[in-house]
Amino acid sequence: MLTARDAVDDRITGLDHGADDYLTKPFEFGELLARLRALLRRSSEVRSPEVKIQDLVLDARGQRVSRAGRFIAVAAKKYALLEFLARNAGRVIGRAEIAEHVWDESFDPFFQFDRSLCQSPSQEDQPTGHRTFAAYSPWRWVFHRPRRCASGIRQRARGRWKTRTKNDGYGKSEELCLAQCVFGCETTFSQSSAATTPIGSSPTNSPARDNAEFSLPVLFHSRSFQQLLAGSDGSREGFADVRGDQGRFRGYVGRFSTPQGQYTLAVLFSLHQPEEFLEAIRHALALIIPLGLLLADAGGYVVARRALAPVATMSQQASKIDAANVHDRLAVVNERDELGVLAQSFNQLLDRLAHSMDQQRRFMADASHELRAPIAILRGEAGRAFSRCLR
Amino acid sequence: MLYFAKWLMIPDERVLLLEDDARIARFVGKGLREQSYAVDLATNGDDALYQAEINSYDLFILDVMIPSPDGFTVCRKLR
Repeated sequence: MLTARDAVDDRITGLDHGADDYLTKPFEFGELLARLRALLRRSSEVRSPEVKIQDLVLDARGQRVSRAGRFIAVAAKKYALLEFLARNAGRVIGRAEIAEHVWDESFDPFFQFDRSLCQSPSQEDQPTGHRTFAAYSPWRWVFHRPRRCASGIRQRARGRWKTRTKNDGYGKSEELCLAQCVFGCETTFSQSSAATTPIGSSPTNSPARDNAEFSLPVLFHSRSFQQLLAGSDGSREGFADVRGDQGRFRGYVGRFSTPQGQYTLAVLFSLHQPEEFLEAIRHALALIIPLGLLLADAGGYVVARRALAPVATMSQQASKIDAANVHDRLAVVNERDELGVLAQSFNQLLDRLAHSMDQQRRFMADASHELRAPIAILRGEAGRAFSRCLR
Repeated sequence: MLYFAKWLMIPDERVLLLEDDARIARFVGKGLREQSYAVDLATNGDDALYQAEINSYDLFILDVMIPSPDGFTVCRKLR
């Protein structure tokens, strides 16, 4: 190659296309001649001692010919002709060229070597049937709810204690009927003026004796219960929280009159079990929520990392593209998803950029060529004239 | 006398010079012939490929920026 294009890329391209040497303009004519001599020396030295065409092998060191491992006996001149033909496989070679390379100055122009020699190798190679020379080429949580059904609650509430007592301080002629229920209890109300059970004492067979959760006398004399009753004096009914020694209750007081007399109904709903239940939930959530957040964080991290992995890869590839490898492109995994579209758009941008750079480079090369040609001529002519004077 | 004798000498090596710039082609060719090279000239890629088919050359001197095809393509096809 003898050219004004002196960019490293051009030299690489030239040598990759098969050039043995690359000289740029302007050049010294003496250097050109020296490189030509070196190439000619190399071509004779580097020439391979063996020529292979399919299964035909010519060994220049021993001047032996073999096909499929079987040696074929050929005379010296026949071998020279065969080697020359083999080294120029695929080319049409004229008689003059054969004479020039195979024969020396003693070549007789009237010698009919065509028939006598060219057919000889194939005749001796008949058994194999070959006659031509060719070169071819990615927790489940079970939350245990309290197992309480509506019928169970009713049965329990009914079996629990119903206390009926005569008012001895809270409402003169009124009777107070108190029913404590558990969870959505049914309210039991009855008028029994004959009943003289003092307030705070339970019947002998009352289930309240079994209820160790709280004691009614203490509860009835509690300040909050009295406030509830006092608060409902002015109105027919009222709700308030009743606070006992062993827990809180939700209280309801209602007043109504019947032909038999005036009654005050007080219903206390123990908040013990709901609070226990809420406490259990609170404890569970205190464990579940941090754990859930932790798992959500970890899961989110993994998902985000996996989802953004192609973006990271694209970024890595894009960061490697510079002026030296502007023809490299990003890998497009899926052309239809958003990342694929982004990669394609980026590749198109690189295409336009590379085209622009190529145009710029070509312009520079053309301008350089126009400027270097006269300089090369001047230097060359001057060098030749100088060497001529020396001679 | 020795100078003229060189012109009468049988060329040692045959060279194909592919150069579209006539001034460069002329002085390079002249210099090579003085060194006993047989020089053929081609001014475009197709011409060079044609001459390479009908003749046998020991060396090819190729310019890159030449008309159809460029020197790189000619080099690859010659190989």
